[in-house]
Amino acid sequence: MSGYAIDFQGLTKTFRTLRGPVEALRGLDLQVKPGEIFGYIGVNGAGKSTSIKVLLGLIRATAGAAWVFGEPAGSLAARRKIGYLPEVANYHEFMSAAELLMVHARLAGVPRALQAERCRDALDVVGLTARKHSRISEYSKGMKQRVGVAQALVSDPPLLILDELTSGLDPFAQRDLRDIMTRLKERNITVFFSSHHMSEVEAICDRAAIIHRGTLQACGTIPELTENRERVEMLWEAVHVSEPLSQISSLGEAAVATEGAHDFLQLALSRGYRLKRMNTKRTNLEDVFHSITRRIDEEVGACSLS
Amino acid sequence: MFSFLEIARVQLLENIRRQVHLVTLFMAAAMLILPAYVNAFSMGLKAFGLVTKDFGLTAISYYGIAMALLLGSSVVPRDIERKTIYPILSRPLGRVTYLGGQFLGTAVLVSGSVFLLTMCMGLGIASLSREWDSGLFAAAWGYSLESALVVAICMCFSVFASPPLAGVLGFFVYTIGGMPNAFIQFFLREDRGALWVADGVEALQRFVPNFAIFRLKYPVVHGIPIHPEYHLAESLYAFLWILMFLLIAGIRFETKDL
Repeated sequence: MSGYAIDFQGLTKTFRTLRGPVEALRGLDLQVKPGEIFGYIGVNGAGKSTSIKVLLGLIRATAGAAWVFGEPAGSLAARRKIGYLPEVANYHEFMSAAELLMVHARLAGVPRALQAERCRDALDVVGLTARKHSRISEYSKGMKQRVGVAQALVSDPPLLILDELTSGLDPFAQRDLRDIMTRLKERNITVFFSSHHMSEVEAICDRAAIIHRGTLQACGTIPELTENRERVEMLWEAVHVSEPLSQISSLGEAAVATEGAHDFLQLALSRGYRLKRMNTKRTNLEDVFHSITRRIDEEVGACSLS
Repeated sequence: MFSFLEIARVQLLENIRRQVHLVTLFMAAAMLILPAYVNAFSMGLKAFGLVTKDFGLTAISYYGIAMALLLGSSVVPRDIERKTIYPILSRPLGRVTYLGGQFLGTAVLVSGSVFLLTMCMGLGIASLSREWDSGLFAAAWGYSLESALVVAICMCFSVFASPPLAGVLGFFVYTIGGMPNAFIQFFLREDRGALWVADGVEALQRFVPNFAIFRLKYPVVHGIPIHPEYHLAESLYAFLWILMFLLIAGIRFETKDL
């Protein structure tokens, strides 16, 4: 029995469509430790939601397996340990937040004596106690997401899966939800959340994984992923260029690793470029993400051309 | 068990909020004034009662079936399309429980509407004739079972097909299953000579429920007593067919990627 909160082992999912099979996941291997906030990053269609749906038993894997705290993904035992906020969270809008939470407490099998307390607690965590009797249809998008987090929390699960939690929200609502996640960490809840916002993942996650084209491309702590590296960004002007350099874009921009910056500077000057501006920048998760996805896309493109 | 009832309750509330429910209230008002309308054209009290009951029960039957087709074929696909199904199915409950709850919530609403309309018609008749005909509810019970069965059929098809197709298939099964034998023999076979059509309908009728069992309009309108055991038998018949359609839906739905 694995000691992981989430354990994907060679997870593969192929959808059969009219245009032929589509591989959404290709042998995904990933482990999430209990108690950590884990960021799951990938472009649209990378396989994030598909792998989450496999965990919940909403779709079945073509090959491989997944476990939630040692229980087979999709089983009732596994689902008892999960609180889930879907990517597009639509609820019965005629209900109030308090009513919706009570419905979910009952569906989750929370003992009757504890239902009211759990609902109160979940509303308190997301800061909706004052508006708990308002209809969900009257809530803003940010408040609806908070209701979603509360319904995921109502069964007091050890694992929270949040699919695109802050997608489409204004900066204030995003910050509120980040604060909520930080509070959840203090309760020792494992938070597994997919996101497109790299800065958000960098700010609150213990570890993160980058998934692209259905396979895991990188996984580790943020310093491990960014390798604590710095790069030098330069802006050049072509004055009397004898031989153009491929590293310098048509707009005159170039970015090189710090260790190779001196040599590159000499070379560019000797080729007839004039330096207009230069500054150093720490490599962030977004740079790593872009570099990985671009490299994979280029490799796939090269393969398909050959 | 509690999950099943909770889903049914939410589904019932959701359905009540859909605008189709307003049509039920409109129909109920129509049923209240129908006896007075018929009375204005009737030639004596007996004809008034017969015509009102006949016409009213026919309208109630068609209304129940229309609601069953509309709601039964759309209730599950609607939940999938709006993605309200995801938070529910991520809970520790089986998909069969979900389907059963959805069925119960919808069937209760449709049956409730049928009884409401019947009661309104009964009140309308009683206000003129000073007599309460409790026999009307025998017919209403049959129509409720018929509508519930159509809900189960449409729900079953909706797991395999799109809502419009599920509705059409549900209507097809209802039409075939409810086609009177006299119609097949005298209209299709003898009058039109469409022998292969008649043979086809008779062959299909072996595989679909016999809806004629639930139609008690004639004995109710003409005051012919119905044995209480008949209600038990028709209920059991409907229950077994509903169970079978929900079971087929459940088997498919269990493995469906959502």
